[in-house]
Amino acid sequence: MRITDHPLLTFDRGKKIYFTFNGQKIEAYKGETIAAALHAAGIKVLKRSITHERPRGFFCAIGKCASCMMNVNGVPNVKTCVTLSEDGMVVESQYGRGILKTERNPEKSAIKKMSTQVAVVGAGPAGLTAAVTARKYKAEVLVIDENPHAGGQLVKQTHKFFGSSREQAGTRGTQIAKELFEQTKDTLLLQAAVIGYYNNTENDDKHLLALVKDRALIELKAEKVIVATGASERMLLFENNDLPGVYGAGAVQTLMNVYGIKPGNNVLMVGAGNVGLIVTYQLLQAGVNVKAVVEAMPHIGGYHVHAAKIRRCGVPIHTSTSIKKAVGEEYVTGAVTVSLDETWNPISGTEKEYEVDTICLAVGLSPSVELFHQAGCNLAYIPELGGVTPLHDQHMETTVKGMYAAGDAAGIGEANTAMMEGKIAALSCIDALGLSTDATEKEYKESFTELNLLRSGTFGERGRQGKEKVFSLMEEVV
Amino acid sequence: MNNEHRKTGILTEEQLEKLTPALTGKIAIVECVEDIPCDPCVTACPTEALVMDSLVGKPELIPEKCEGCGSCIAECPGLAIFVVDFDYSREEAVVMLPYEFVPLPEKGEKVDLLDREGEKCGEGTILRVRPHKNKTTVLSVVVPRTLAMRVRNVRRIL
Repeated sequence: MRITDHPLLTFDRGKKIYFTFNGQKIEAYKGETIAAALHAAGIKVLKRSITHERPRGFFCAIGKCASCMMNVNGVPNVKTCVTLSEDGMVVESQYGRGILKTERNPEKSAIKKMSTQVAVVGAGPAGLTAAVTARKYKAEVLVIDENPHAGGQLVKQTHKFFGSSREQAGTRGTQIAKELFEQTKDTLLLQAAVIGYYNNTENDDKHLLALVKDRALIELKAEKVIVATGASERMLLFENNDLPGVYGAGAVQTLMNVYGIKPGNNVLMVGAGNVGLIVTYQLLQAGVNVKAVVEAMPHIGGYHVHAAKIRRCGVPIHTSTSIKKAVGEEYVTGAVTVSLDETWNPISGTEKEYEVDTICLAVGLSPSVELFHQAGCNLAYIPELGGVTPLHDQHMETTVKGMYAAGDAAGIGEANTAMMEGKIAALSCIDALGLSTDATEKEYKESFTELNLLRSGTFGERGRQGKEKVFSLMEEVV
Repeated sequence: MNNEHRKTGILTEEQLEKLTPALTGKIAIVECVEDIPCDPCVTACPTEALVMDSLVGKPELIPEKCEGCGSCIAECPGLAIFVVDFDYSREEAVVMLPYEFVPLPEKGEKVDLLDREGEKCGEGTILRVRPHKNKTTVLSVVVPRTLAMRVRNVRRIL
């Protein structure tokens, strides 16, 4: 399943290593996650569900869901989609909740303490842009991310970005990710998860975060926190939606664009928004056959230009059509679609079966708001922004003073607006830290103008309305 | 507003007519009909033939300024710009199109010609393969003149 020739990407695979899966020898390359290497070896079933022992594979591939948890070197509940494979590792399918071995005490190391001026949670487009901006104006920055690679979803975006040529338009997401990484690499703390926001008892107006890195706890104090935790992919209700082979569009991108592994040979794409259309094109570029794109809405949600790209490659797009069920016992072997009437009800007799090994869901995203919630930020349900969203003002500050939101975590948008929000959040921190200069003021103003421009026009309307709701709710609270 | 293209992913005859002032000469066909916040084509054009009022809007082509050089083809993030030389020969036209697949066809190679729905509508010959640093290759393909406004993709014959 490994991709050798790709029109846009080259895969610099690391050294060959070996680990075992249920006793079977698995070949992997250094830098590959356990789940990716297993997929390359054709293994899709990673664990069993707790109650009914149904097969489970991964779904998100970025550590957001719990679908890929396995026993690794005797430790249960390890998210194998974000854990790098190592030579000699012992990986086993997990049944049930996992057994915590009690014969040994965990290492009793002292809690490490760290401090920074600006802590950025999440190394995606918003987080990294925030880090670049905060550093530019001399603030001390630390960026924390759970994943083994920085760049968030940018590292998988092989298409050229829209937007203004003054900014990054025309540049591929992968290239933007590289540039951002180069500028921030010494601020990054990767494979580190922020597990909670704590009360600071020292009365110094600082925020206290707890992180886990290499299975040890770190206490991080920060004057300002920018939360750019991104989003998680939405699931859709249909029969057998839990079968391995039903993957989120981001997971499909991770496999093929980060690790160079084909998610399957034949794909049904569900959703004709920009993500569904773009990922379909990327699948074709990776040499994967896409049988069809189905879209429940009566029209294509994404840009016409993205739709045109896959149509001229012969991929049909069926609007007013949805997925009815996934077919298969242990993993997906087919999919059944059905047409919908004007009131979104399935029309019986219109079912169509496809022989596919992968069903890719591109049906939207929801902001990852756990940290805001736990820190006590006011949240509100804003459908235009993908669901529950932290309230924030134009400066991206939430109802918790000194805590800022940016990117998809602040309401679903796209990468260009995420980067702009990251920049604005960082400039707000710079201002609050008293580091403002004429240059920061100027950049601040320009960023607002640019952000408004990106959100103008027909396609920006929904996001614009969502943000207006957030701002006005914020005013009511303050 | 005609929204047929939002159901099919294919521009209607009417929309295409508006994009093509005259079926002569060598000219860019900008198949971009929506208000996308995007402007790299404007900066790519060496003759200022592409203009936009603001970032959000549709690019407008000034036909008399377009020399059909194709600089915009690989720069358009939407891969929505094509250049057609309607007068390549008596019977043939040349379509320049963006291509991002491997392996690339070679100069002189016979290829299947595909329309906007990916259906084969004829056979043509690759005239030129122009790589770009952003990895969008621009292919020039010789097609029967009658297919100049239909051919938008090619497929290697294996």
